[in-house]
Amino acid sequence: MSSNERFSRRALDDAIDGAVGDMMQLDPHPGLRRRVLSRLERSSRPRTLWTWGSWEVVSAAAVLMIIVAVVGGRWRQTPVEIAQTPTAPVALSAPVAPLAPSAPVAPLAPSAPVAPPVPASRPARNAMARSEAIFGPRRDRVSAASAARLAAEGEPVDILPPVHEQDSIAVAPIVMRPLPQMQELRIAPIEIQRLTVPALSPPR
Amino acid sequence: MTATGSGQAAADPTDLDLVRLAQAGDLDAFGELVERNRRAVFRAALAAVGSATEADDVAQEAFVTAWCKLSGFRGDSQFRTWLLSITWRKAIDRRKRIGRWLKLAATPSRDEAGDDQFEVMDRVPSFERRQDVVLEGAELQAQIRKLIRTLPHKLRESLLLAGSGEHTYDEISAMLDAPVGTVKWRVAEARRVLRRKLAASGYSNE
Repeated sequence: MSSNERFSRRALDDAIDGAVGDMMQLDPHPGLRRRVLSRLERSSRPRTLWTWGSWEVVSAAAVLMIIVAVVGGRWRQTPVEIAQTPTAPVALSAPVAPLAPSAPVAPLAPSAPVAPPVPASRPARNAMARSEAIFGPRRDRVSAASAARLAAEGEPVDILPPVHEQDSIAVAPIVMRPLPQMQELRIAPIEIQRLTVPALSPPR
Repeated sequence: MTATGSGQAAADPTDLDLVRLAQAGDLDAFGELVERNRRAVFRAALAAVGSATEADDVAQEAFVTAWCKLSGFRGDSQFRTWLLSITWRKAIDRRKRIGRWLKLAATPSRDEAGDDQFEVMDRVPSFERRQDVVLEGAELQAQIRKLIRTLPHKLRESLLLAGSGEHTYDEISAMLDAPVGTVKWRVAEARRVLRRKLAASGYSNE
């Protein structure tokens, strides 16, 4: 039917009733009663089992949680041992003195051979060894031993005082200084001065 | 169940009798209540959610909730009214959750769910319609369903519930929590709005 056709009011009312009826005159899926009852039976069955076994389950869970908490607490308190991985042994020709703030620095031999941790067959290492063999030990290498030696030979060397470890870093107490007293804000009284306007000269 | 005589009134228990039995744990009595009210519950849910599949789920939830809350039913109101109120709340919750009403309202369940989900006999309208209305064609019907979708919530719900053939104005009033006069006005207003829109579309001289 074309939409251009006209309908009376009663025909429209009937059409509305028909449309609403088509939308609403439906029934639920067959077996709603059976589905509802089976759902109710299903939901009531586990509840019974839960009631019977609830105390055992709850107490077992509580004991398990206590054990886990105790074991976990002990595990956290045990000191953590750091596994020391074996490192490549370094062969030193002279014993190295332990670091001490005021202890004199043990002189290091400039040409003390240090066994490399990697095989010496690498080309870079070979090249370095050849350059030292040709030009001799490098004299401008900065080290405490070289500085002491240069100072003993009379060359001007600035020897810095040994660095001492800071014993402790004390946190200075925070002192709250009182704020300076606020001065009272005084507003001077407003004086209204009379505005005098000079008389305009008459227009020319 | 129908009354067979004055001496056999006990054979046709009222809803309240069944409620008392169900409150004592009689699941079969509650099943009889489900059977008596399944259509009204389903259609109330359908008016709210607009989909037969969703309405079926809502109906199940409503009956299960009614069973769980049955101990709190004192009989101050009719069981059916109490049940429909539960259904309506469930349906509104579902509608808010899915938020698909606007899409589904114009395409009711038969279009959405397919023929295999419903019994063909269940779809036959239970009330008689004039033959000339039936012959007016599917175009006008489709146009009206489309316009019903555009109605405001309150007008649409009142119109659909009143047109379901299962609910009295008192029950609709209880479900919507509105006076009966307000419900009747909403139905009339919904029809007036639909007529005006149909006239604007060229279906009428109004």
